[in-house]
Amino acid sequence: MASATIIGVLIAYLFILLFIGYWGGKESKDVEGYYVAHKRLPAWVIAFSTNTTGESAWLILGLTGMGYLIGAHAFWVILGEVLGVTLAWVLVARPFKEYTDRFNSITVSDYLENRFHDRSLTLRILSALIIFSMAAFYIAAQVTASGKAFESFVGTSYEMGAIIGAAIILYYTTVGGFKAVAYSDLLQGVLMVGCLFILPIVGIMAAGGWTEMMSGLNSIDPSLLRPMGEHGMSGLGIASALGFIAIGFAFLGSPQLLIRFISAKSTDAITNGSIISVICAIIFDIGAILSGMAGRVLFPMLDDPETIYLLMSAELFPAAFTGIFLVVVLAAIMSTADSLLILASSAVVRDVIQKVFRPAWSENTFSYWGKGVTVVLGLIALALALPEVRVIFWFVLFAWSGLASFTPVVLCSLFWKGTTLAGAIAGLVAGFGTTVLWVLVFKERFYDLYEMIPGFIMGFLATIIVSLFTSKPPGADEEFESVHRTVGSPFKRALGN
Amino acid sequence: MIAGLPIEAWLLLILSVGIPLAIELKFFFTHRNEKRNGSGESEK
Repeated sequence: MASATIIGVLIAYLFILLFIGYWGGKESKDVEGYYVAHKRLPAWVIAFSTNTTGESAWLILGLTGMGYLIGAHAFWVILGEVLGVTLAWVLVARPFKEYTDRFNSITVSDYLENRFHDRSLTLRILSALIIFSMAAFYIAAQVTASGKAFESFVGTSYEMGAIIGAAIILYYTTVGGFKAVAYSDLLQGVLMVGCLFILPIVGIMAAGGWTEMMSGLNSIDPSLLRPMGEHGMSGLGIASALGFIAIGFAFLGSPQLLIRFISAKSTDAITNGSIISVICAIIFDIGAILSGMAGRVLFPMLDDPETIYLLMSAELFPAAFTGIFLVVVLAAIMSTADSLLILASSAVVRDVIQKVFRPAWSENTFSYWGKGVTVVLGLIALALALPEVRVIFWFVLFAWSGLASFTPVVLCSLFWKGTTLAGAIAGLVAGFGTTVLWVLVFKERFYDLYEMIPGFIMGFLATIIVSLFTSKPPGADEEFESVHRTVGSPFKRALGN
Repeated sequence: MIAGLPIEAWLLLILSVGIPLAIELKFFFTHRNEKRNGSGESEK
């Protein structure tokens, strides 16, 4: 059972979230306000919101556990994630923002439909289905993590913890909409950066300093210091390193992250947000892995490596700090769950109800529907999470890959003029289908290769091959050239339009 | 070994941070200078 100080910190944090929800409520009275905060978010907010949405409890518990278990082999995750975040801001964000502003798009489905002049609604419905199904998995995993966190921090039952976590997230997401989600992400991101900056420093000092820590790891298992880990340059070692790199490339095209670029107040906010986001990613990843490595020296006999963060925060810090470290776990969970909730709600209300069925409702009514669907989604996730404590990170990584199946299509649509509607549909089907099939049928037979890699390969191949044999919509070339003239090259001055 | 960590691990760590950071800084200063010089895109 936690001390009164820890519970006090936890309650203070939850009250701040409730306040942010109330404060964001003014902006959530129409669809654009509820789903993208009227595209007025500043650099700091979109930067932290992108990173915290991309990094769920997997960062805090999973990646620290990975550093504990495999040591320097986990450095490949840093390469993939930091490069993925960087390329997303440098290459994707500006043309994507320019396109979505021109089209007045507020979801990725809006963008794809407008980019390919799709009047058949195929791309929109397909996108909505993928987003909804994967988000449901993802949110259920985060509610499970919330139940586990409350159970271990406060001593509630797992079920009660899941209900409390879901209720808080649902309150501020429903009432405050995307503005509350993004600003709560900023708060949660600052807490996460702070803890993942301090924890490895204190951990390394407790282990006797850098050299002592490395010496300790070497004596436990020399492979903990090798980049290719215990498998070396074997098929398993290479597949594992490639899988770690691939995790980060989802940042280039996952809908829950692209929404942040849409909601930026200007392309200047993207330029300024990029540097904040990249530095944040560096601190997140290095901090988590080095904490795990220090933890391996300090507490070498753990049965479950994913408890190392909790153990270090309890053993190395006074109670008030421990409370903050525990809040960070909840912050990581909530910052992802709220974003996925609002994304899935937009897939139902904006992408299907508003754009497919087109009822003659006011913006305010659509906004209420958005909130209602958010609540229903939260309850479905809770219902999925309550009966069984599932393996959290398996679900997270699967859903992360499923949502990342947009990446090949988004990249081709932004950078290859030859991409066609049929190519985009084929790429989405092939990428998503391969991701699911790989997990169900092939993964175990191919060195446990992470499903995102075959998903990306098939997504790109299908998009390119089908596009080569089909025709582009009239006018798409001119739009493409105009957008790229306006944003210019990432490393050269824009020429203006 | 440098400070207890093999050179290849240092190399991976430094490249993992250095390559993205170099790309990011090039991008950031290009567009910041563009804005300062007032010759870039119009503010939306």
